[in-house]
Amino acid sequence: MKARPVRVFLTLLPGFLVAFILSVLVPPWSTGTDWFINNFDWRPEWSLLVLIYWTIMLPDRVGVLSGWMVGLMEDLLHGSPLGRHALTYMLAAWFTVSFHQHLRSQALWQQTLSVLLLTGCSQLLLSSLSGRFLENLPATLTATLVSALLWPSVVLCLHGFRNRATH
Amino acid sequence: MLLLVSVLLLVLQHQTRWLDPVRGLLSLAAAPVYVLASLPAETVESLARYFTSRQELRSELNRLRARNLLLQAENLKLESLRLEVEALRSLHGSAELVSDRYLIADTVALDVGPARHELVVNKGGRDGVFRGQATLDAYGLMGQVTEVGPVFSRVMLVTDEQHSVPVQVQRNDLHLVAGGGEGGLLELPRVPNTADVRPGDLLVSSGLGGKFPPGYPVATVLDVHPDREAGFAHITAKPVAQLRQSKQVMLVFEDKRTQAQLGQVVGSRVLGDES
Repeated sequence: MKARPVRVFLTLLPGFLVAFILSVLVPPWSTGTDWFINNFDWRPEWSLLVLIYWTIMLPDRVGVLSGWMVGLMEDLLHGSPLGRHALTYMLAAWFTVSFHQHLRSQALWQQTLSVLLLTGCSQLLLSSLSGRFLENLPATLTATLVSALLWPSVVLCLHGFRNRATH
Repeated sequence: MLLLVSVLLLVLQHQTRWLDPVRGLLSLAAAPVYVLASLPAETVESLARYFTSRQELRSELNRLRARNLLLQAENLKLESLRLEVEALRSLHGSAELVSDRYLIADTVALDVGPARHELVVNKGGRDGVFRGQATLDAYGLMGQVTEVGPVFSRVMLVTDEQHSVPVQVQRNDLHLVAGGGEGGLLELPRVPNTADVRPGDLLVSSGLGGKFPPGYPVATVLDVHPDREAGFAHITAKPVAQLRQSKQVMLVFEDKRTQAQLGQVVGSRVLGDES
């Protein structure tokens, strides 16, 4: 029997909530030198990773609309104009839904590469929406890599919730 | 479709301020995240306090008391100086000096990266915070409030690329503008080569434009690099405020006299001259 929507929502909520909190916490690298901070972007897109995970696992429940809402929340949390992250996350969700079967059957390392592609495109879109397309290439690269490399840990953490969400 | 909505939202926000109230309302949804995010730090602090010995607390208390006493003494002198300056100023018909009120707030979140230098503090509209309000720490000017929610507000730091503050060189009252630049420093563009600015000079807020209250230290000049061809010098300065370390900040409320009152002061002086 499929899980009721309320139950699914409650199971997914902690993951997203933790992701939002993590994206807002005072970063540990903020005490680093200015060069370190201003030339590279070390902030992982936690919400995006959690979004991708649940879109792969539950493509019929989590998709474009959820992506849009999660993105909107990110806009609120980061002071960016409403719609910037919303648009980007929505597109990322759309890609993930379109290829969810393929993604689901991949091995973890292959998935990480796919996620790398997704985070890379998202970073490019985000930077172009803020008018800084390719302005800081090292920053875009680090942002993409940091997020993608965290994918395995996100998967590990959220796997435990998978059963509760699907039954 | 959602795509159109997003694009519409972005365009609207870029060109107009219509969506600001919507943003303010929605930021309420973000408040729980900030509350939860500040919990770990607060818990650690409370635990640390719990385990601090009475001896440590007592010595810190004594230290703070002594410091407070010194500050009060300096304040007394400041008060008499202020009265003296006000008397002198009224002789010239100048506006009265303003005294500022401060609201202390805690830093809840820090958003620093290549394109952003912002803080989130735990005071908002219901505490009287307003958009554009100057923010200080114990050492100097930090930035201004860019977004006000009911409970939390966003502060853009002086080092953010989009930020600029009118300053004066304390030594010679030269007026300049300091903007956020590379490497977490401030840049002062288009300063004539002949301007009298040297490394080590202190830059204070000049109050021009009415956005920032005057007199607060902003930065110290690091480097003056003259460009012979263009005739302009490129100056970099280091902010005095502990932008990324300060956990507590102060939001400034200026006590401004109204235009009418200012007019009255000048008017009465002119009349007095005629006698």
